[in-house]
Amino acid sequence: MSVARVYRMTLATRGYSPSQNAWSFEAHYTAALPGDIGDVRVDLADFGIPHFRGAIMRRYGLRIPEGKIRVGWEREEPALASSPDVHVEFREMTYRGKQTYARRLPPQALRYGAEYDLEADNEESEGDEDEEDEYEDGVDEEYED
Amino acid sequence: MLDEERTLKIDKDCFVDPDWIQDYVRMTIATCRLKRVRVVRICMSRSRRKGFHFYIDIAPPVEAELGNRLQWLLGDDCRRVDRNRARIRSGLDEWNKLFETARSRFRTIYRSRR
Repeated sequence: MSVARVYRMTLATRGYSPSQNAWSFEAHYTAALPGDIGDVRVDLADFGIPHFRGAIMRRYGLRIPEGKIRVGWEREEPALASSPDVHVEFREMTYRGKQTYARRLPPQALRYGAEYDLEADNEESEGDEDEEDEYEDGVDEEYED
Repeated sequence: MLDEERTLKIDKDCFVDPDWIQDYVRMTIATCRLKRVRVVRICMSRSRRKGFHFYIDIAPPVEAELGNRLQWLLGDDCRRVDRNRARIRSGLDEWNKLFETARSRFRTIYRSRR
């Protein structure tokens, strides 16, 4: 049995808000999974990207092409045990004035391996706020490391 | 209340000679000492495109605000400091994001003898 590691993946996309402030939406996925690091990264991205696109579709009514989603991975760490649970934290980031502000959105608990449909409407917690925002192509520099 | 940080993460977007890295280690130890923090170990990796990443294990662990402040003092990428500050203020426990490729190699460049 292969060693379990903690994987921390960040998916993000960016654009501008209607008031022309630089804006990004990011989701931070945390999972403890066994397997080869390269393989798990590919699988977890395949799992997370449809979920991320679905979350944006529901929240903003926007269909984001895969090419506009940045994927970042932190250094893996040993996990005590593997688990099929995936924890997701969302943040809406807006740059205004001279600094960035983050807005916390309701977190989610997912089951690794479950399929997330772009149009699905049953994944997010109750009490989410609906907001209208508009995407444009942003400068592609934020998640470059 | 966010978890305390045991590891500072620094993004340096510039390649430099090894003797500059040695200076950086000495400067890191001195800067942490200013805030009564001891450097236990420093690891580094090459970032994907343009420089180095430093992972600085410290004792005792520090609050998130101080962790980000120390990272700024140690020359962390300023946009990263800004985003991390926003994440901290929004209550994100895992605010200290630093991305690595799957093939990243980590090298220990300093270990405390204490």
